[in-house]
Amino acid sequence: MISIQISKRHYLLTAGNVLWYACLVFFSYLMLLITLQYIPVRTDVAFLQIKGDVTGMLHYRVAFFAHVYTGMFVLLSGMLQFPSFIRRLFPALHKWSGRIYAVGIILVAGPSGLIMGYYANGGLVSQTAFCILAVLWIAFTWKGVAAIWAGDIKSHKTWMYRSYALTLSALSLRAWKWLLVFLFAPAPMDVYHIVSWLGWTGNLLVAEMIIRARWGK
Amino acid sequence: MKPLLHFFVLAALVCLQGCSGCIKKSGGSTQTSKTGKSKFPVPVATDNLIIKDEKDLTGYWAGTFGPDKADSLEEDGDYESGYNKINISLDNIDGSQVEGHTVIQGKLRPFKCSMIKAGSKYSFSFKGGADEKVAGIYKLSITEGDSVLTGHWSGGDKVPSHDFDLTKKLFSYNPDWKLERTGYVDWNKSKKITIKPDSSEAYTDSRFATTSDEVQKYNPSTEVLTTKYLANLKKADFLILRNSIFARHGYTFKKPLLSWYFSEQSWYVPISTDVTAELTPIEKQNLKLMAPYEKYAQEYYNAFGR
Repeated sequence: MISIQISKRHYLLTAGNVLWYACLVFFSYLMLLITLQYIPVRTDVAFLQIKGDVTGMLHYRVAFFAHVYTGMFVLLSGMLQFPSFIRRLFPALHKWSGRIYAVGIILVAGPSGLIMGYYANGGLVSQTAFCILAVLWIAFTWKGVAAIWAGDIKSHKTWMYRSYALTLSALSLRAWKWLLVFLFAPAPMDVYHIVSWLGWTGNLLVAEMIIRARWGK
Repeated sequence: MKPLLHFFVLAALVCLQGCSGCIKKSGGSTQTSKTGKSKFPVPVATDNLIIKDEKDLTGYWAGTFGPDKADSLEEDGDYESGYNKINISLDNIDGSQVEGHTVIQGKLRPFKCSMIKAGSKYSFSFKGGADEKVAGIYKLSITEGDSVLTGHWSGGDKVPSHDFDLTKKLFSYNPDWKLERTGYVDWNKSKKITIKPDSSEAYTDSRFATTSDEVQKYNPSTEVLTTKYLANLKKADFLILRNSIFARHGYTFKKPLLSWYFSEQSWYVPISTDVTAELTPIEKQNLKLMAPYEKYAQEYYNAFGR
């Protein structure tokens, strides 16, 4: 009787996971399409069309392209970290994709995100949001790395949950924007101000809820 | 099992192929073609807006042109029959001979006819369609001491006739002309009362409901727009803002919605099908500045992205 209940619960959990990963894959695919617009390197497409004020600066261009190209790998390698079967059956894959994830954020995508945040459209409101996001992203990822070096798996997991929550803000920010425009059609800069904060604070809240549900306070 | 798997993978791929619409909408062209030369020289007009004699008749005569019966609008639904500004230009008057051209909705059409003077009343009529499809006859008359050229157009029994009043316009480009609220503007500021479109029609309110208040903030003919301002505009704002530049120079719009929108601006006089040569440096700069922002607004505002 008990074993049936357990297997049923296990089955439900898996269905939820599959749905969650399907969502993740779908939005990551959209992200890939967005990224592909910037291949080959050009500054007259998509988002860069309205960044004419700053695309003339070499350090902005370097930061932008480093961010979008690395971002894709970070997103995908991050996706491999969470399924328990990968950690159990292919620990080497977990380690190596984890290294790509951490190095990608701490050395490339994070710092370049900070530079882009400094030049963000929409003034102080969105600049602040994106800069805080970049700093926390680097910090949480670093904490996660430091925890596993110290052998503290629980701490490693919690910090990496937070790190990936911020990684996923790339997807949630864009999804929020689509939803807000669909529902209310606000002025473009109003949307941008809202999602610059909502995009990552919401995710962090969810991560915090998951952490508390799993490990308590 | 394997063919089934292949099928699913293929189906998934096909679905994903359709996703490009999620991240980018087809933008359409931001370039309105302004080609085609207007062949007509500017008529030499006297300063008199009130007609004292034959010489005062030459010049641009502009007013709102549309079907008389409000019923016909309702039947058509939507905005099929809006009101356009018409410019009947009297280019040359030689005794009883009148040479001129009509300008309406992107078309310049020449006419030649004879003018009759009975007492102090001048009248003339000529053949011409209100649009491409329907042929018709324009009848116009004005009395000395009056400022209104009264017009009547009929295109047979099947289409509603048009009664309209024209006033003489001494057109000179003014960059300061501002976009007025979309409410109907009384174009004829003369003593005669004309049949105006029923105010109950909804089209003036909802037609450009998608333009925001932002569109009236700055004038692209007098000041260089900031990128901060441009980043906050929607595509309808760009459409109106960009075309307001051309409208100030008297560009006659082919697209009905634009023609109707600008026909409601009191200062608007359609004159030419090509005004590119008249654009000022500020206007050229703004058009160049606006283009990428407009394209971005069209392609990405309601897409998954930022």
